[in-house]
Amino acid sequence: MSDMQVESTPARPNAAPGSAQRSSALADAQIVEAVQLDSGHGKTVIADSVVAKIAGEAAREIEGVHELVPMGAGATIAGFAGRLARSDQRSSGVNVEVGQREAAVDLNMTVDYGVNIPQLAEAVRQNIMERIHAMTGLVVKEVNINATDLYFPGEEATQSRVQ
Amino acid sequence: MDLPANRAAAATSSAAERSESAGVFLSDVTIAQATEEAIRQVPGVLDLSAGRFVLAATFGAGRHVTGVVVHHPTPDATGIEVHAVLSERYTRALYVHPEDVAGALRGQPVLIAVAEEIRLAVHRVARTLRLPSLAGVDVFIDDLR
Repeated sequence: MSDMQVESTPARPNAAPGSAQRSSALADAQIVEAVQLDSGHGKTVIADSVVAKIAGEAAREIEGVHELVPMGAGATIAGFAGRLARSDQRSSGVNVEVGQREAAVDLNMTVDYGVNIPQLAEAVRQNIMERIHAMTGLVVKEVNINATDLYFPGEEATQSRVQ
Repeated sequence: MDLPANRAAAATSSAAERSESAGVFLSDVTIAQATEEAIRQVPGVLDLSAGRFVLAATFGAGRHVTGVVVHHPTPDATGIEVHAVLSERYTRALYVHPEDVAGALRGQPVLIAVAEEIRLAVHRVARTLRLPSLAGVDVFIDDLR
């Protein structure tokens, strides 16, 4: 009964937050590495892995991207070891660094043979930047794309010839 | 006649003396449970999450609520922390049809809009429970599934 009554008032909670709350949210920001937005009534935190998943999905949507490949030994040699340790296992192939307002994305992918790779990379980049901004409000400063391999659709047939 | 009720109130009061309002004692775990029920009704919320670093839960006698943390930044204030897993399908649908976002939140990034809906739901619960002073509602989006 009282539920209904409360439900019908769309009014937002009082817009008079304590400033002490803000400063504590700022202190927390250094501990939790994720998107933090203080609406004045409490903070909203979006985990890094969520941003990574959005980026991964946006990349996979582009035709010509065959698949995302986990950053493996090659990445370690390239000196990404520190960042790898932070990355989420489930969103493999995508590394994100997320700050308060901005994000950077690193992506490892294999590409269908025959597409123009710079064009494809640009399409992936645009889709990721647009999607992350629309979903989280983060501004994506850079998307580094690593085309690690080509995918040949006829590959399986070639291999079956040698048994 | 109303002795049993009194006794029940006395039994829980020790754990809940801080959330006293209008003579009704509310334990943290009761607040958490009501909050959980409300959050599960918010469109786009798939589940509650146990948190990423440390178990996010509120504990009470014989039960606990995972994904909702009721804490007290000051002795007479209550803060609520919510850890949610959102539906990938739902957030994508909102992205494709931004006009489906409710009035005041339209134009906000999708995840922020959903987080705001969660926050409003918690505030509604707090009002229903007559929670004296809700310091703030922190919404953590821990995963997208």
